Amino acid sequence: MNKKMIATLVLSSLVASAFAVNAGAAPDKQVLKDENGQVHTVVGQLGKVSGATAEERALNALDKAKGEFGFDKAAGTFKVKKSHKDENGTTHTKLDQVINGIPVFAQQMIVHETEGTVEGITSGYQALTANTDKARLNDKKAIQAALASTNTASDAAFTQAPAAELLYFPQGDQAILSYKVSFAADGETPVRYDVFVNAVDGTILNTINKVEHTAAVGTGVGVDGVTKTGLNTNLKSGTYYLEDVSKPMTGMIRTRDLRNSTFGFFIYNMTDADNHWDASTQRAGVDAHYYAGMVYDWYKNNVNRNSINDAGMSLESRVRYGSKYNNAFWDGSQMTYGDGDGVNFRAFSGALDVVAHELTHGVTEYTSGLVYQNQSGALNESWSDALGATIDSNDWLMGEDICLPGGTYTAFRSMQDPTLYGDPAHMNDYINTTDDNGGVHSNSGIPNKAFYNFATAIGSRNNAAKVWYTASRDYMTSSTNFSGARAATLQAASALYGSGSSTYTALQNAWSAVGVY
Amino acid sequence: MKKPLLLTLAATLAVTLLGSTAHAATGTGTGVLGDTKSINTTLKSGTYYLEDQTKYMYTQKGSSINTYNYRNGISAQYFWTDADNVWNTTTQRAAVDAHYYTGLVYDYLYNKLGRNSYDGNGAPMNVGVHYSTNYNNIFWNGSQLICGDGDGVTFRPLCGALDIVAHEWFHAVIDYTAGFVYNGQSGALSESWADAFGATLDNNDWLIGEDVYTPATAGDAVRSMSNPNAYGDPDHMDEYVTTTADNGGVHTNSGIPNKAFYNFATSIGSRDIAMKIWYIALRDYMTSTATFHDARLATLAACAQLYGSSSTYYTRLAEAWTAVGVL
Repeated sequence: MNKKMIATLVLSSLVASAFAVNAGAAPDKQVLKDENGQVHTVVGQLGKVSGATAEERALNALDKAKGEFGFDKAAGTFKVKKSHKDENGTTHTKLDQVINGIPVFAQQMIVHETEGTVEGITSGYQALTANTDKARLNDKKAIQAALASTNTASDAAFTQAPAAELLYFPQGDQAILSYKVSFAADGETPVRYDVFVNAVDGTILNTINKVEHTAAVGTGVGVDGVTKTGLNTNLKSGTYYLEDVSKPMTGMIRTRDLRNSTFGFFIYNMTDADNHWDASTQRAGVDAHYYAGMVYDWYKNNVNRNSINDAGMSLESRVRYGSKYNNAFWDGSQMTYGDGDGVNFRAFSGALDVVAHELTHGVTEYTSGLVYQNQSGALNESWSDALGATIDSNDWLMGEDICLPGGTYTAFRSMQDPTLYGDPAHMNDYINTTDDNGGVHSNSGIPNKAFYNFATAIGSRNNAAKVWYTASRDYMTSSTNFSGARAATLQAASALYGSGSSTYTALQNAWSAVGVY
Repeated sequence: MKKPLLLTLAATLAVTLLGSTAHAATGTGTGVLGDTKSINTTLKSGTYYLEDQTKYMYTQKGSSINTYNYRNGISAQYFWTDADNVWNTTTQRAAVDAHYYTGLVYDYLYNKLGRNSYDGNGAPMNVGVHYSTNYNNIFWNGSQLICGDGDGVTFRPLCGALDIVAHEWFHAVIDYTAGFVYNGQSGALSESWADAFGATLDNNDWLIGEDVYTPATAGDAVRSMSNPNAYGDPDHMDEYVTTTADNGGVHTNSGIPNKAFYNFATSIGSRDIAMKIWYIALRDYMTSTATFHDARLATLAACAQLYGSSSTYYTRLAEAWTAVGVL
């Protein structure tokens, strides 16, 4: 971090005089490097070069700086791509880097000279070692590989027919002999691809689609009958899908429909013709989708975590699981929500805190990995409740939004007063049981109350949740118990706010108040 | 492969049967937003076509601006015709704007930047509108512009926005100049340079796409160059987003050079001068793999070339980049 900083500072001091071509006497030759030490520009007095053509002058100019760039001889290393004289009489000659006479993808030099007086060289050059000079694939095979890898039919409506160009593709300090296969095709999802196919083994080195994704924004009616705007969907072939491709993830947020089956093999995409998701069968999907997006955003914006695995994995939700199923769960790879029995509960995805709770089980699995039994299991539950109450922050109840009026329940749990729902709020009331994996949903009341104490004392659920998250990520193991959680959250608070901070003291008091030392 | 053949056949027929009787004409058209504008058309055998033969590229090499109709399909394109040269039907609106705005793009490139069409050598500028159904996108496919109608909720027909049309055409210019690799920082520069061109032509605000985005919501847009954060995009290197989505966040990290362009243009009080520097940097001082830092150097080099390195512009430009953390 620091190293990079120094490098950029050095750069900025040089930039002021860079390219000062119109400012009287040109400065001496200056070599500008990036933070990796790669020379990208040489400016200043490079001297005069001779040559009848722009190409000759450019190659001669490059030879003057070959030491800086690290090549032996410009001729054979570069080939002119194009050249033109600008309004001030300066000639800009662009050259492709070549190896064995074959161009290197996107590696160029630009020589700037006026009547042979060299004013600078802009470089995209880097020294590369070729893996081979013999292609083992022909261009036809390369095109087949490129089309297959992009799911493009060989008889697609091409607006630019597939063509393969043999070149070297830079990969680290290697130059891999490859075909660049370029094509554009009309279709329900139009594409314009550059696919780089290894010319020796046919593997795909890189794929660039220059037509962007078509993210859409719709509206949907949620489980509680209220319309939500800003529902991120995906338009494909004139139909909208519950797929949110707007996040900076490698995957997407996708919500699908089990149609009251418990058998995951039969799962259906949720689609809509006009992007107004207002059918009653869509409500559970709308909320699961919308709330998953909110949870994603909370983690991304507050603790810079990119999805459950912090590597942008897809967030998959399944709704309408089984018949009148009164639960929601994370199964290690996706969230699943039942419809509720319609008497006590609505569809379980209708509560933001429930969705945040389930997703956080995923985060816990990828961070501390708390074993789902006894105290570590209760912490696993509690951490999920804490994030639920942070993202759904208008009360300290869990699941209140899906409890139907007239039913038996008003909520599942209270973090403010766990005893309201029969859960302990102090170590004195700790329940020793073998039920429910050792009471993971009851003893969670103790750390829940600690979170409540802490967040209300510092006046910020967000800051409290940052401490909780950091503790799980950095200071807790799979077998951490309550006392270990106290120590871990204190370490996290110390890392974030300092051990002399009032936040730190408030946290100590919060745990002490529930009898955890 | 069907489509080019169809067009070629039709064009050949047109030239054979009607060629010598074609006349440049000036019609009036109603745009996507219901506004009326004057458009350049061609009269052939008593019928008007959306073909603009008035540009320099036509006298140079017979190149026109041609607007076609996909008729909500995804393959065949058809000519637009009109009997009285008053283009006022509902289905013509997207075509009127695509045609008119492409003309403005040509004029800006030619008159302000000295560039004859996107390739610098008078290539015809073709646009196809009504692509597919409810299609929320517009793009340069390597040979022409293709414009969707939008779904009516997220977008109106996208060619109804000058900044968007200009943005897409500038991708074609980029292809023929620096040829940025559409990935990572060079990809974000591609997006940013296209936004800068859009905001230079459509210069009444710093928003991109406001004229066609979410018709039901006033005042919002796809991106903002003055305040990229307003749409979740970074405006400083401290906020640079590392991702593999969207070709490495090319539509996100473009916020950083976008803000630099905004800083510069507002500090010197001229989008035109800022654009001229941006264009020369693109044409003469950047390679396909340019980074943000290279873009700083390249624009400074272009600025020195045009105005001298001791000019106020040069200082302002350095400040504009420094303010977004590109050093």
